Amino acid sequence: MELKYLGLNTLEYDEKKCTGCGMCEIVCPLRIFRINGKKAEITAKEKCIECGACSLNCAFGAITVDSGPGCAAAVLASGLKKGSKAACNC
Amino acid sequence: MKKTEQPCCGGKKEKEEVSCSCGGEQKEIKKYKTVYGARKIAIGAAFFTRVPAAPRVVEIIGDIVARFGFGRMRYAVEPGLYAVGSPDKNSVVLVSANYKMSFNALRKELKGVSAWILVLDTKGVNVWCAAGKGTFGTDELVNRIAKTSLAMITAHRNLIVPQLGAPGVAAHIVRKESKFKVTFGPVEAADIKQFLAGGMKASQEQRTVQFGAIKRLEVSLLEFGVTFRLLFLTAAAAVVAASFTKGGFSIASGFANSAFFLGAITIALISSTLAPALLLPYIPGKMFSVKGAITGAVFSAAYVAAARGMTPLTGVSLILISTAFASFVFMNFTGSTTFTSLTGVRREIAVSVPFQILLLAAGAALQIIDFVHKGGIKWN
Ligand code: SF4
Ligand code: SF4
Repeated sequence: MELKYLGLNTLEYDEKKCTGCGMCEIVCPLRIFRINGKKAEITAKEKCIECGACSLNCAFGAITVDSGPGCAAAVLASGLKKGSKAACNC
Repeated sequence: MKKTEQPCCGGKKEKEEVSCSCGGEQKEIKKYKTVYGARKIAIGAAFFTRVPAAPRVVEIIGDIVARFGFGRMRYAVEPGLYAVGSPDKNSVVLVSANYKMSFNALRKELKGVSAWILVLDTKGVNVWCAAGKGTFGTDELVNRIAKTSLAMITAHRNLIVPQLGAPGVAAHIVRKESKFKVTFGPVEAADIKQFLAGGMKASQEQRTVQFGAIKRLEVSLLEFGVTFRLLFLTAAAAVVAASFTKGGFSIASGFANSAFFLGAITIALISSTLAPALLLPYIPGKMFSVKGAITGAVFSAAYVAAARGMTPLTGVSLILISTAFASFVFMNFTGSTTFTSLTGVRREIAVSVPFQILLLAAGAALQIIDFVHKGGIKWN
């Protein structure tokens, strides 16, 4: 059974800059990118977890994503006080 | 059974907004854990450490203890170059984190293989989480290659980095700065042998993070451990308080008098951690706060129904408080999963926390009313 979250993320892809190198297809742990012909395409944007692997490994700057931990403890800790001791369980 | 990384929160250090609190002010690790059977070997100015592929029983126990979160932030091996089997200048180089569980998971898959393991200094954090923080990252990898004189030890210039390290490692920059070419290996260490044998190819499945029941149970042990420690003190205090009876201090009557409360706490512990984690795909709702609330409500309602001699107000109050508690605690499980995004989690918190506070306040109010009703406080 496939687990789904809220489908909210900041993933953006600019096809014009893409050279079709295939790196994004390799690194995405959710298998969101696929090379179709000479360009990458996004197959399921809603599944993106904003890990940032694709944008970091795209040497041509075709992908941007505001990456960060999908973790409530981290959000709460940094929202309340920077560096506070909430246990982020990673 | 596959078990390598505990998925969790990441978060790049540079463009800091949300920092994983366990990474922000990480303590320096003063003493590294022993790797049993390790031997340091010098070659010229460089040296490496030869280790057996199989961890010893004490090391396997160490992994289990760390799973529950005990001493987890200090469960680290020394960064550097390791050898499994008898690698030579043509053998593969696998990159790993210095969280001992990650290191053990990798080397035990290398029985009968000769390979180098380049262990990065990730401050004792696993690959996936450290990649998110940037400690399993481009700079550390480039530095570690230099520090270990890897270029003198291998004739080739190839590294295999676990795919879950990709959020921290930019392959094209590593290449530019160190001349080493990064190939991303499979997600799980369990697939590494097949990857090496099959010409460095990983299947779609081996490149996908999985979050099956066993994985969910494994990562929820951590949440269980953390919540257990939180509730343990509360429970202990309740037993001690209940031990003061008219006839003097008696631990036995302390347990007897607080039995109902201890039961409620156990239910709270399970319904906020293990139960919703295991039942994740089957509980309605997309938000973790909703799933947690449902488990908390159902479990506590069953407990209230089974218990006897309780006023209705106490029962309802207990259900409200348990629901709020499980909703909040399970919301934090988002950090242990493999399919949540920061943007989504922000939304979930904004929507859920007001409800959690409301439930908690209502539960507490009923508790007070009930107390007064029973004549707990004399007003005069
Ligand atoms: S990594 Fe960048 S350039 Fe390469 S295929 Fe993906 S989007 Fe295109
Ligand atoms: S940010 Fe991560 S999950 Fe999202 S598309 Fe990129 S690699 Fe995939």
